[in-house]
Amino acid sequence: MIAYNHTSLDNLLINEKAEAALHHTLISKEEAAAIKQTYPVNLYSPNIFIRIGLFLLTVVIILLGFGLFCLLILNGRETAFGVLALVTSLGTYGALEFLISEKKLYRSGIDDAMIWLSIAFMVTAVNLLFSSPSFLAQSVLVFILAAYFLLRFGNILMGGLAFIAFLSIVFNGAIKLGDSAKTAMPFLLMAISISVYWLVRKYKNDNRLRYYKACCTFVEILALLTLYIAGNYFAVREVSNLLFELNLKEGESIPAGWFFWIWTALLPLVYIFRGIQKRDGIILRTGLILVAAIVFTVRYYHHIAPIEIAMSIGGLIMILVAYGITKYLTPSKHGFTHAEPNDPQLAGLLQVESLVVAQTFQTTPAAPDKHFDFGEGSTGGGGATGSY
Amino acid sequence: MNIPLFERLHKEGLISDASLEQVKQRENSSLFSVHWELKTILYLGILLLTGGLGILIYKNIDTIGHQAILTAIGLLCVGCFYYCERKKLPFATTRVPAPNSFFDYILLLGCLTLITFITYLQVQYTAFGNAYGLATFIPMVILFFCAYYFDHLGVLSMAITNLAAWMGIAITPLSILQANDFDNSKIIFAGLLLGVALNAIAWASKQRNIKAHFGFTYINFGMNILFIACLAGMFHFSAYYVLWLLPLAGIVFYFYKRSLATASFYFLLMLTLYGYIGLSYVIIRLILSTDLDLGTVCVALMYLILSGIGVVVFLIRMNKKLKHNDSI
Repeated sequence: MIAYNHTSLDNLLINEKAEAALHHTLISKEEAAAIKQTYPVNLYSPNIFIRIGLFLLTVVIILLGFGLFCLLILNGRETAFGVLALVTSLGTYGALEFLISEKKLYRSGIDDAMIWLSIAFMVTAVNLLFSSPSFLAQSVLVFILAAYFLLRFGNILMGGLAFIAFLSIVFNGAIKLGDSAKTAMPFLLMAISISVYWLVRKYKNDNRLRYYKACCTFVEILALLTLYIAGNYFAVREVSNLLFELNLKEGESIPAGWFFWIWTALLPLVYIFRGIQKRDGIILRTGLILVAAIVFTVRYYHHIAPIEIAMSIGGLIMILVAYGITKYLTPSKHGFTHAEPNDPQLAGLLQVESLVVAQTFQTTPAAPDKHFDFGEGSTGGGGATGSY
Repeated sequence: MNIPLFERLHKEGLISDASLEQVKQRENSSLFSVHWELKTILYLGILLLTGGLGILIYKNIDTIGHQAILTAIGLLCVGCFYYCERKKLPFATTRVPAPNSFFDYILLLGCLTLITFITYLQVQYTAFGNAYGLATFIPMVILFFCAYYFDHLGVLSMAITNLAAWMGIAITPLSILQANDFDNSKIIFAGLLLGVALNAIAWASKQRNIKAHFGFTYINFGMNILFIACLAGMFHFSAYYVLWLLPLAGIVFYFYKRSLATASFYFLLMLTLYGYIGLSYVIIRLILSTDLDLGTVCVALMYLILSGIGVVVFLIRMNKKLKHNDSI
């Protein structure tokens, strides 16, 4: 089913492990080189920046090509554009298969872009050719395409897209079944999220799914998030108000509101606890992110304190918590440490962090250009050289 | 680590007994690092705290009084710097690691409060006179000093953005395109000068080995402002737009050499994209300047598609070339 040569993918996995071991100086350079020699990889997977560049360029090229043909049939009817989109979608897919078999592109940016564009043009074509297909039909279409691309190319994001499309099918399908289905909707979505999470956890490390491990991780994160969102008070209240015409007034609660409040406030803590207990970074980090969702949801409905007091106290608590954990984990305990991980993939994070800091803690506004007069006096433009 | 895999590699004679033992040992002793989780919590905490206190002061300025606020900010600042000074590792011209992640953010808090203190003095009592330049110049000097003294990349980035602000340019990632008025020729030339200066500092850092690991931060800011100012010059001085290809080519060439020397994929991508935008702007303008009709538009589109494919091939080739030199 997968478009790539199995030996190549297996060798890639072996090489990745060997590189990680080399980085932690568990094996020697010669050993790593010998492994690379014995298990050669002929797939083309460029560096992440090159991948981003290739992705952008491929998107631009295909869109411009589509635009060029649109110009040529400028006076055509809507169906003409629909047919053109269909042809573009199929053409993109054909080119993708060709490039993969000839050039061995694997996570190269080009294949990522072509997968996305192929789906996007197919959906556009269906929308142009058939008069306004329902949400359900579109979800089914996206699900089939995403699932196919997932199996065929092992693309990580396609796994997520297929999962979301599947939830959308369930949602749009269940709406049609009447009121009891609407009431059960949050629980239905929760049940699906839990089942998917459980399945993914169970089969993630299965040898037969070894090419899809990253996809499984991505779906795992999404399932944790959808499990929370399905029972989050804000999401349930606003969505049911909007779609099911409850006409709630401000301050009015939904039926069984207490259940959703408990879910909103407790589930992230359960995630964090479970993450610490199992030493599972995925569920731990998801839980930490969702703490922000608790704060947002509570503050949306209850104005406990003015925003500035809440910010100050919240910020102080976070600093104290971080200080407490740092103190507690010096020296490291229970398999946890606060020391920087020695991981080459995280090396760029420091640079990103410094950029985020500079962006968010802006200390001076840019000088209004009327006063702009650099080279003022003897302190000239090279002020920074003062640091030598 | 995958033990069965390494056992298999061992059986095939690819790794030694000692290596296999090390892999097994690591599997049993690996620690779970919460380093970045803690950093994120601290970052958000300090962002919220400084933001919250800022609004609090702003709203209650009449009841609290200026002296009280200044004292509070000053005390907080002194406390932060006292902590940092006590905890920090001895100064060196090479990279000095932070004792823990908490230190990094307390230093940040200290710098922020110090700058708030100075700004407050300036706004309230005009302590530094009426020159706008001085009010940005002093925080900049303090930030540069702290960045070097405590070895902190985040403070260095703030110092560089302050340097840019002092020269009249907004250089933070999200505002570099919006907040600057690139129709102003002064801004364009200031941008070029700043870009050259930042790259010169990076070069000097490496030559004299003074905090050489700061180099990337300087070059990153310097490269982006240089390219953006150059492209802005091309768009702004429409009479001479073709001439701007010369400085652009020079900058592209400089960073091309650099990215080859340091095997940097990031710089390679950026110089390719910026260079491609500049070159294509000139070519498209030349194509459309003859006659603006459907035919020339189609020619322009054809040019973009074909040249885009050309750039894709170029990037693929360069990736192979850089990977060859890649030390990792």
